[in-house]
Amino acid sequence: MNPDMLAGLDLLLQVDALLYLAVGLILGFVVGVLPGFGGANGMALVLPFALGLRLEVALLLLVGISAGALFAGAIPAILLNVPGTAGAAATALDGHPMAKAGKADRAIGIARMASVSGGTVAVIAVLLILSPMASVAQTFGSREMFVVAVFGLTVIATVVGNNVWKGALVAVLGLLIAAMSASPLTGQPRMTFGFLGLYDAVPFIPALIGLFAISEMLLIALTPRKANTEASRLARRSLRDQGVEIVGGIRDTFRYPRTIVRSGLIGAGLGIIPGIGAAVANFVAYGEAKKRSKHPERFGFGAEEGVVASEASDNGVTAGIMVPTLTLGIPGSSEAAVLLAALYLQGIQPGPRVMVTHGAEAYAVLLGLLVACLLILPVGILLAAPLTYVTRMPPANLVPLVLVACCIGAFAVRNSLFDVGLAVVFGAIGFVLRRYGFSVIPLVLAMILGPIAEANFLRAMRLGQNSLGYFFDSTTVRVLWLGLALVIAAQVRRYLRERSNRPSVQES
Amino acid sequence: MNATLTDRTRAFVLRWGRLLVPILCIGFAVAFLINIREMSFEARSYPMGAAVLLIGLALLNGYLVVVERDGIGRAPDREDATYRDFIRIGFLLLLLISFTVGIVRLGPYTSTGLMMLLGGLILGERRPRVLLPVSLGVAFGAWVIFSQVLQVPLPRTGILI
Repeated sequence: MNPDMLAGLDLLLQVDALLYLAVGLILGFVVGVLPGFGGANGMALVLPFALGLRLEVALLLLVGISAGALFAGAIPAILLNVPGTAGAAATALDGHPMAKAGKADRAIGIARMASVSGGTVAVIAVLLILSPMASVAQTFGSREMFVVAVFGLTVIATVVGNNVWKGALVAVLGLLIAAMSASPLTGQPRMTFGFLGLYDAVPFIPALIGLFAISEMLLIALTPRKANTEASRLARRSLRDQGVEIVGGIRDTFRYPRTIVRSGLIGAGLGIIPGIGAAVANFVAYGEAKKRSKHPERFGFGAEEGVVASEASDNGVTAGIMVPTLTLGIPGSSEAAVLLAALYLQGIQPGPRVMVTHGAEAYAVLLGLLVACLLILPVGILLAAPLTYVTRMPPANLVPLVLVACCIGAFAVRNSLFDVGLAVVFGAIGFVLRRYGFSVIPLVLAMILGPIAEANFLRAMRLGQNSLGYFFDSTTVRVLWLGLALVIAAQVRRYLRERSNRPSVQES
Repeated sequence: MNATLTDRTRAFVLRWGRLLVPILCIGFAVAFLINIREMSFEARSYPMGAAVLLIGLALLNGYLVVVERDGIGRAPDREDATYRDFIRIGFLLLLLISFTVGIVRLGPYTSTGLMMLLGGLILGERRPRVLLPVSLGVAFGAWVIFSQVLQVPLPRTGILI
């Protein structure tokens, strides 16, 4: 066994590490069940308060939130037909019809077991490939890292959201926001407006809190949710009645072992590509399951296999995302971006060297994800009924509560009111963007990848003596450019196909 | 007649409001270009192409909104919001700014209680039997969690707590 893996296991099996993982899982359930809130919001809120913890404990807390939120997003998807996270969108296609047919508990049981088993398959797969991929990543120099950053930006801009032009606009906006700092080359301030607080670039945590949590609260305040009778009815059922149904759902999941393995691996595989994320992976896994099913006509009308495929891939993505995050320092999702922010704040420069200098902590995070997958089962059974109360919390209480936590969290990073003001400004920016259908994820990821791309570009230009040919001078970098070209070509093809399939739009 | 004028205004804002994001992006990119050009050539280390690209993408997005191509002008989400809802958002943002100032001037926990009270009122809660206990409870809970459990160093310079 890899010595780093053994050391990681040793770090994980400390009482406080496991405790914070469990706490993170519970917090993740709570934030994941609030429609639209999601793991990244919860992680961003908790991050300032996790700074005082040991590195692996802080990371395990955040990973627990991510895993819990991913699973819990299935609950509003099934009960309300409103996915709590992007990765639960396909779960709603069959989970909600099951709920309408009176089988909500069974659907939740299936979702729970599929998350556990799919996530386990994915983590095991990632544990096997992490070390070889880290070895490859360590051969990457500045030009390779530049191309990887551009690759991530391109994928994120074109895949996330419902329109490629909107995604591209927001990604480039994120690049310019990330450039608001002292120049890395000359030290001269760029667009800092005289604020010292911007000299080291826009502080990431307040921006994250604003773009995700504050903007989400403003959107909830704009159009308050209506009550759901099915959720209310479920909350009043006894734990025993729910337990019987949930156990039935767990048992039913094992009728689809091939779907579980395939979907878990699809999630892990797609999670490795920066920017793809759970939003795409669960639909790909769902589509594959439907294609190979003996009864594809049942999909969309309450097919249990549909719920299995979606949830197994959803948790699988979390494991896959760890590969580019830990080996390259390239976040594959907004949750991974928060994990990277945690590394920055602990004084660790994300990149290929992380697996060399902090390999034990990296493996502890992955193994912690495995433990979190297994804990989903008992914790989820205990929290199933109370969580339905969370979905019914009135916005008049929820919104101010979360806004208070946001402001205090933003303040706690640098003990600075400037950061709180920045969080409010980014909250307003995020609100405007999301109100008009722009996703903020490309902006967040561009704020991380932009400085990585710029720093590596400048370094590579110096190494190549200001020759752009240096960026095409090695086999590795040519392969990366080819991969980027193929991704762009695939996106262009997809866009043209969608446009030709779309009916013509009439003026209202 | 008033209802028709309100409906027409709302439809106008809903449609042309979608130009807000491209316009703000163009403004930001132009400010960026001006800022960069004010530097000496040697000091300019960030390619201005990114700002030019942002302007180009913003113009393209604006064009697609105007002609409602590619579904950009037809985002159906949250179209049921009225002007009263946006006024509520404005008040909420003002409250956030006041809370930010209040953390230092009034103390973090007093500000928390006031934020919960006023936030609840803005969002439509009118029952004192809900507002007061929730505000006091959250303020107390915030003190327990941030001050005692997490020991987050919050300002102690407020005139209250």
